[in-house]
Amino acid sequence: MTPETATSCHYFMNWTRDFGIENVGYPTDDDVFAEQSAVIMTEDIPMVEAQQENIVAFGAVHDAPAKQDVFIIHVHRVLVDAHRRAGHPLPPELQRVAHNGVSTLTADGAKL
Amino acid sequence: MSEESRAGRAMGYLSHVWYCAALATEVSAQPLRRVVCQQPVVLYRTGTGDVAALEDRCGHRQAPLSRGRVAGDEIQCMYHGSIFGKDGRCIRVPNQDAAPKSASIRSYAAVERWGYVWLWRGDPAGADRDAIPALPWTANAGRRSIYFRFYVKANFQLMADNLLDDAHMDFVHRASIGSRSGMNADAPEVDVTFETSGDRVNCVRRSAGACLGKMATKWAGTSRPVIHTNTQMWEAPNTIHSVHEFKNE
Repeated sequence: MTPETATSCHYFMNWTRDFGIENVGYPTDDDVFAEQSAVIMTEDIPMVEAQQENIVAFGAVHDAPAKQDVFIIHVHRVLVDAHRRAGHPLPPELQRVAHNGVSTLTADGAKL
Repeated sequence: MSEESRAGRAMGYLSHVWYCAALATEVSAQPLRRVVCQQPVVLYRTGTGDVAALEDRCGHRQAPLSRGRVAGDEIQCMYHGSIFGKDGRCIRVPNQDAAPKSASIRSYAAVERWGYVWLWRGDPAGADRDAIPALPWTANAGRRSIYFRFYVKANFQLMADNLLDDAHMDFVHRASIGSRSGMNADAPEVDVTFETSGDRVNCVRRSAGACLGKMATKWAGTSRPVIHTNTQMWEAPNTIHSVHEFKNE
């Protein structure tokens, strides 16, 4: 995932399979390309773009971290540390979450 | 500090990391414009097949070099004809003896690896090639890889978070990939383990009784509930490896 602007990005993906590698029956490369494109372009991206539009529309809103967000929370913590080490300000996406208590959640989602 | 560095810092983009800028197949002797971290970059292949990356602007009058043409290692602006080397140095301005140093532009360290072109936003002299995310399975003869590029009108972190977030599978992908619960908000518990190591986070999620959707049923060869294990590794700034395994219960 590579930033383009604050509200756009390039999403590069590589889909590797260890089955059907002879590429003669299902799944062929064409099958995989069609399936993955459909899933990402009609399911993931519309939801995330709608989320982005809402974040812009509502302005200063904060997330309410849930137990199911623990992987995201771990990753954001590493990113927060990396930005601090580099002397960079936190990007808005990390601030929006961090301000709402991410740093006080444990790995299993419980509040410290 | 350059204007670009100041702008990048203000937006919080990390400099000393590699960003994927293009599929290797996108880059040719025809210049390609790509905006990375708000900075327009022109990518092209030199005469030896290497990838060059420069600011996408002519140092003369700021026209995009991506509208120019490549000859050998050099790129020529097609507005007034100034020529730049792959190091960004302006080496010729038509109708004058010497090119002004002030016309030179920034170059980036760019490396082609694992089927992608990677860009280092920091000082090229400090580019650490060992830090390029490793994708060795793309070169594994026993596997088959397909490459995609999507454009998303959302902040990159939102899209990355989507990939890190297994819970959306139950809802967004309930018909295609499938879910643990068939959209039951209180899905059966999933075993989750984490490990953080430096700038990497590993996560393994294992769910029993996973109901596969139409597409995953074909991958797994069964429509019965399965044990679904999703092993993910995240690597700064935003490379995500995800391995899905389906086993009969």
